[in-house]
Amino acid sequence: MKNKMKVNKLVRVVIFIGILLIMVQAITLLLKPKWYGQELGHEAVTSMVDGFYNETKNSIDVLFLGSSNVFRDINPTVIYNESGITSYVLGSASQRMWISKYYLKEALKYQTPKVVVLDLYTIFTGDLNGESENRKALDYHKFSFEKLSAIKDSIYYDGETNENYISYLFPVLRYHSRWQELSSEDFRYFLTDKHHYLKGYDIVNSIEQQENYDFFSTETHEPEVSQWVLSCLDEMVDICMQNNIEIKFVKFPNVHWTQGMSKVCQDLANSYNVEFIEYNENLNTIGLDFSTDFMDFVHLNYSGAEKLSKFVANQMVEQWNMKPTILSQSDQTRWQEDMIEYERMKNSYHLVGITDVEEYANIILNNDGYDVYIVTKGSFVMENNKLLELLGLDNYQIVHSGETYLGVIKNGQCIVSEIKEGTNEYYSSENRAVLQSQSYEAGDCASIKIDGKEYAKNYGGYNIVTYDNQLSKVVDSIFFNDGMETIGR
Amino acid sequence: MQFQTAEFLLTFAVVLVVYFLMRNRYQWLWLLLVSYIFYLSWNISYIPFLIMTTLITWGIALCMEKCRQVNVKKLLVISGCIYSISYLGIFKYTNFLLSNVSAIFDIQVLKLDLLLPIGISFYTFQTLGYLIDVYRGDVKAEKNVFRYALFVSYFPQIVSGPIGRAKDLCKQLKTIHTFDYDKFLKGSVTFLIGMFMKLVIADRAAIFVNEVYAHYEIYGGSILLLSSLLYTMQIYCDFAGYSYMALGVSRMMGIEIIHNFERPYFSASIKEFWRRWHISLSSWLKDYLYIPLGGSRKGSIRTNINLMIVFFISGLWHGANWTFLIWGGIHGLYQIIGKFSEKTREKIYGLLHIDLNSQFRKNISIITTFFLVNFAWIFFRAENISMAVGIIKKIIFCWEPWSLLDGTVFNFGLSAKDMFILLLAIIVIYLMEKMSNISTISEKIVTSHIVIRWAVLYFFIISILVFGIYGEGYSAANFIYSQF
Repeated sequence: MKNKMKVNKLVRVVIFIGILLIMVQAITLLLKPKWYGQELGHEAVTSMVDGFYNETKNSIDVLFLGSSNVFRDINPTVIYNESGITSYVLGSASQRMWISKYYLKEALKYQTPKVVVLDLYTIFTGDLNGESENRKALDYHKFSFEKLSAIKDSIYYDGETNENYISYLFPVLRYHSRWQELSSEDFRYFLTDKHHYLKGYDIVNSIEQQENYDFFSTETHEPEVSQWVLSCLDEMVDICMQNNIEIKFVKFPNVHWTQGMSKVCQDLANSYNVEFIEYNENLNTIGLDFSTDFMDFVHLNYSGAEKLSKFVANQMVEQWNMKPTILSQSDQTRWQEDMIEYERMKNSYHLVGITDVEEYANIILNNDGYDVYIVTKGSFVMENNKLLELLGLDNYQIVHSGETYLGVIKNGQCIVSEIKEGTNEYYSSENRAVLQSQSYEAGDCASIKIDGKEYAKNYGGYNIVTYDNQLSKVVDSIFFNDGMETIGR
Repeated sequence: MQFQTAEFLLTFAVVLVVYFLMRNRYQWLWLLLVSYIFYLSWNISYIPFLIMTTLITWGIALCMEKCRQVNVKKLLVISGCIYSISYLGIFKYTNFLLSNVSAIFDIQVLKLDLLLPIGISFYTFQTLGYLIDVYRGDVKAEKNVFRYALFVSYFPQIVSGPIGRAKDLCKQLKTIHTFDYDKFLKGSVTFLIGMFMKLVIADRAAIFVNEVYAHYEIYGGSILLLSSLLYTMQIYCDFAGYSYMALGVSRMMGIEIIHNFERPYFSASIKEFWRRWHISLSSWLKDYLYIPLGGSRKGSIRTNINLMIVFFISGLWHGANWTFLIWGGIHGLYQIIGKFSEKTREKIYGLLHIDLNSQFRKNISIITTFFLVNFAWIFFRAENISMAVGIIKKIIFCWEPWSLLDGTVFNFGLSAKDMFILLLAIIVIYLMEKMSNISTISEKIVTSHIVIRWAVLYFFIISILVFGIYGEGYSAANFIYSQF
């Protein structure tokens, strides 16, 4: 009887702890910051890690490891499209070698790559890494002994305390105060598809042009590589050898890279008897253009990444003698769909760079899935709005003083276009969009809120927000008013 | 190592497993070892002082018991008292004394860089009480120095009390304790509620209070009043929260220690407040100071003098500063005025046709007592007298009620959401205490239906985990990648 009661209590305790752990896990997932990329400073580690675990087992042939020089420069979707070879980028912000080593170990539990490509940029940047980089690199990975060891490394090299070790194991201890910042994105995380169509690549579309740069400088100083980095390289080369994987050392384009550094990498590669590929001396062959392809000369933008990825894809086939991967029908379809999605993303990014009214209208009208929301601010008289005319809106022509205009285009078709006095409002439950146009007298405001977030520029005249239904995000916010020949942003 | 840290919780889990696995006559030695490790985790240099006090008071008590001559016994207890008081005095009050000498005689006196061993006020009073108990014959002197050392250093209470009594604690520390599911559960619930009070309420309120008190000159009366009210909640939830955590930790091991708080803010008079606030100290002062001074047996004037002495000493015990002395003095005066005004107050109630036994009258008394206590806390929290006076002046003369309504209150480290959580948490504790004291509530929770019990436990665990103030705090800006 007594024993039965004891067992009962024990069962209750186990169930209690089980439920508690589930609750803590759910709260942790809710509170952990989500990193989806597409914005500077927000590299897509969440998508990258979740996406990796979501890939079909043993379907990846090439693994790219390294810092932002990899995840901003290499686009596996383009490589697949070009060569049929599947690859994935496992890269995090300023990724040190001990993280690359951990990623490699973790990746080999799920994939059997034929080639591992390791960018060596961070062998010279010291062993230490910031807390934010360490957390981002480790937070979304599954629990494992390798992860425990990586946490130990991250704490050791940051001089952090044991308490932080506990918070790496239970991230809720680190992020609990984020409850005040929770948004719908955090809640939607539970329902989103974890498939990452960019396969670890983090797309950016900005272009920063620099006047004075010294690419691949002739500086011959050979910086030192720490013992810790060397031991990580030893281990990675060893792991690859044991698993019959070819490891290649590379350096993707970077303005900080020097010939001295390159020499150190070549010597290292020779000592391990592995190949070192220096991409900085091949910029012309790759076809990179300084005026269009660089985000900041340390990273490539999507145009540059596409060129480099095509170049690498050809290398894989022609020089590395790799054959296209044999995938199941469903995986093949998925990779093709990913390519379409990438093309779509590219289009949207392209849209942001357009100032010509006609070109803008053409993209909107000739591609499905764009919603265009138009609101006006203040009192003005505008008789010839070329953009609205091109978009096929009819009764916009004359907005008199005290009147407001509101228009909505869906898949190239005008569904709302009306002029009202004072305030003009529209609500779309599909995208949770709330539109409001106000004349000067009624409040003088142009507002387009999606999911509660304001996107309209709120300039006098027409304010236009373009929402991409396929990407489920706002891709552009522009304004256009009297006297303007081109689009304003 | 504080109770609310992950470090303590993990260590305690190991301590508990070993403790219950031992189940033999050496179980208490494990507790002694753990207590010393816990104490030295604060600062290893505190240990020699603890050992010194333990050995001296143990020796004196043993001699007292063996000695048959009353005079020698008296001499021993007096020497023990002198030792304890001087020990506390040297470490805690030397610099206070020197700064006053310096101010009175207008001379430069060097401040001494003295170490202040943590928990010194608690364990000194505990050992002093023990000496007096042995002298009076209320308890037998402990012959085993290690057992006595455990009584002095017992880890749940050495840092912040409660001040233990030998007759309650020593016997329990000698007993072998086997794992008791219900006691463990009761202890866990008590601990969780204490942690909730400390991390969700006290530490959150502290953010606001610290900010306002640091720059009190620039804020209006309403903000200062709100701050003083929040401090009233902070000090209670901080101290009582810690005491409940200590009680919970001890309960989990099967050892019951003194309940230090009995819903003090529900007191209908200051006298009652002191029966409910920091019970282990107020009962200590009553038993070892107030009654030996003559208590209320020697006439009204002497009673009042005794009261003032006790409260001044209580004030000084809390800290070496004139603000604490004044705080104690205010509470002493409250009681004296309370006694003198009792009949007048009854007359006023009579004139207003308020029944003296009615709930309405009781509520008026509770609210009045709360605000009187709140007023005195201003001195307790202020760094010096002029700061306390400045705050009170501003509360009375610079009343700026709009600052409570125009969003100004959210500029002192607590956002509107934080304020909402703080208010909600205070309401939770208020509603619980409205029913009964936390200790009894814990028992009720443990014996309630499993669904209610689990729901309550999950509520407190998740609330502490998410809304507790601990760790570095997340700042999105620090997580933005900006290197390369």
